[in-house]
Amino acid sequence: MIYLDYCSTTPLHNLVIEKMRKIDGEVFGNPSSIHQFGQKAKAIIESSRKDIASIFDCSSNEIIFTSSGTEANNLVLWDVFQKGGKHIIISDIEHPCISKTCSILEKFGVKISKIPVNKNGIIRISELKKSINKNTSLVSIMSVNNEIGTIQPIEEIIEICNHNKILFHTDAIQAFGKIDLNYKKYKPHMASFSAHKIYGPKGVGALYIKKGIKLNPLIYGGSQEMQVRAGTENLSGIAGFAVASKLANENLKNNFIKLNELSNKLKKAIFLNINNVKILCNDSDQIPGFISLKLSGVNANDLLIKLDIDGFGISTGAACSSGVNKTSSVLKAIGLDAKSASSVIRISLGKYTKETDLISFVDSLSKNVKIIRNEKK
Amino acid sequence: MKKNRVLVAMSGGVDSSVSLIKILEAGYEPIGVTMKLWESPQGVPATDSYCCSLESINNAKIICQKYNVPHYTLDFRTDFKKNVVDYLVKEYFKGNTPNPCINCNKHLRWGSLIDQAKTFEADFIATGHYAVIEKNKNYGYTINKGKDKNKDQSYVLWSIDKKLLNKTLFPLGNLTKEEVRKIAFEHDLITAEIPDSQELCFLPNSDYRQFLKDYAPNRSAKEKKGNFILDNGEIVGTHMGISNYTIGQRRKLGISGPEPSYVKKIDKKNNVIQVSKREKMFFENCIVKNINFLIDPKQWENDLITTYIRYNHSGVDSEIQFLDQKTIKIKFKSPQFAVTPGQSAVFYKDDLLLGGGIISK
Repeated sequence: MIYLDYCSTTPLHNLVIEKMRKIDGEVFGNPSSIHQFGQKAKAIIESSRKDIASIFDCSSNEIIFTSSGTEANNLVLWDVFQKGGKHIIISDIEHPCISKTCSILEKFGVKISKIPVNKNGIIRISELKKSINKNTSLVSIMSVNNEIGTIQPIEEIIEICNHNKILFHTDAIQAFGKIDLNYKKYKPHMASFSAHKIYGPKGVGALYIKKGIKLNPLIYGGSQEMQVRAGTENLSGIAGFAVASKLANENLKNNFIKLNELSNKLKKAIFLNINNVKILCNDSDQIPGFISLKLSGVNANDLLIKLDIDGFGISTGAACSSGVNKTSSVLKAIGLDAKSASSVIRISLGKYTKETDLISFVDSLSKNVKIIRNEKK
Repeated sequence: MKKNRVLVAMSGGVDSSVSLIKILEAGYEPIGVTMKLWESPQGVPATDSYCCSLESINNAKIICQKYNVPHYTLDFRTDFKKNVVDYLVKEYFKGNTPNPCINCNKHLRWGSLIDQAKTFEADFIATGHYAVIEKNKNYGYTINKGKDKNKDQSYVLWSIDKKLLNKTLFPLGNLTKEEVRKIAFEHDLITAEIPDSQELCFLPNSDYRQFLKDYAPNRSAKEKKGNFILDNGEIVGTHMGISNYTIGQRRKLGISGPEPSYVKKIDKKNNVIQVSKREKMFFENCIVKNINFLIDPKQWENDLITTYIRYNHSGVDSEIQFLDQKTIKIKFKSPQFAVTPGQSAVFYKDDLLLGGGIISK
């Protein structure tokens, strides 16, 4: 079985497993307790916080831990509502934990503007400028899209927000640990991260909140996480997150180069072996290791299952659990109709992808595409 | 040697779970699939039915994972709506009483699913029906009643294209329900104790009347009240629109009298429903259309056969007579109560399923 769906989630890095096992076996105290059991636990949380803060080049009291990237995103959006905010701007290609949350906020009276993207999946800056008004409380634009891998011009957007004195948040879940987030001129006011996309554990996320901004909690209770997120902390998860973050960011450049090489080879092999195939979005706009293919005349769901039976795990659009096919709103936003969108597969490479894996993958891909296309005739 | 690949239809119940076990035991390479057929549309109350629910899909996934078998959910909602639900609604408004399982088998299992099997390069599909497929030297592949006569489901299989029988496996045909449950317990399956479904998968509480009102509110509203009449034409009451009634219905007619009245005939054209006493509800023959034969009628048309005019009917000896290529007349050896247009008339010689059709009058 070969895994080619690293953007959905990643396997744990060995050092992450080691660290988590050690903590799970040795430390159980409640980080909020005064005694030494608690102190041990507290020290783990706080040093993890420092590790992540140093990666994002911020101070440790600007990082809070959450149960997921989704929760971090929700926390930011619901804070707008709790403060009586009237208007939020997002893009047309946000993850459902932003877009769906916003459609709920809309029912509570918050106005939502969605900024369209061009055919490469890059947000139209001119539209963003037009959408800003005196009621705008927040702009939230993802750093890297989860379905097509495009990188947004975040600093340009921050500059506009700063100029208009509007808070800017970015869902950096697909970006963190994959591209350099040490912005040169401007930093976002808030940014969401997740552990399981970077060889860390599931069930842990984090939110960067710039000093001076005070968010209302989404989950109320104890005074953990600087009173922004109640609930006893996921001790080993947070420690695992810190290890994963450090590893990812230490090797940022090497990983980038390696994945770039692998994806170029894969693309070449695909074009050599398969007709009528189009790669969505310019690679210069994408994170490496991320390939969205449109295969005319192929039902992507059928192809996914056939590849899986052959032992290759890929995906179509975002992962879905209910068994119901829906047209991806992201693919729609970059101009694909329902039929084209249903013929798009997403391949995402990662740390453990080998070149030989890709050779056998292309064999299976080209075989199965042929079978599906022949059947239609 | 390469194993034959089988798509095993998994509803998340005990029968399909044991089917998977039998398929594995027989040495096939199974792939579990759950057909997502239905989701209550807006305005139609969600069913509590187990079939197609997230829970049933998840149970199928758990069972498959236990045996290291891949599992996929196939979204067939469009096909199901078109071929089963919309057909059902149309038939009720015509005054008929359809059996949606017939169309579901024909268009979904032996339609969409078997097409999908081809895409996935599977040699067979397997379902948990209590029926037996055999290869007979005179007839080729045949469907026979299942070993468990109380559970036999061959009645709902008459509409399948005969050509697909050699691509079909019924792993439970030679088992009784009791044996199936026993296997499920022995294998410690989480689905072992799930009760048998009693209702139509997408009708909440089997209440089709309410479903028609919710699903097709405009057509329901357009339906007019009309008269209940006796055999002699005498008006005895008011009906609420013909879709609310089925042949043989006794309850909720609102007709008073010393003896109970039964719905005998629904006349859509004149919007009139004829009612009768029980002794006048027996019919000596019926006309059957949309027939499908699993065995060439030339091989049996002059024989005495057994006809079942509804699921759980005890069967009646009968003779058939072709009126034209697609229409036959069934003559019952003894008159039958409440022969109902829309239901299936299914023909057998002993346990052998010969074919069937839709009762038209």
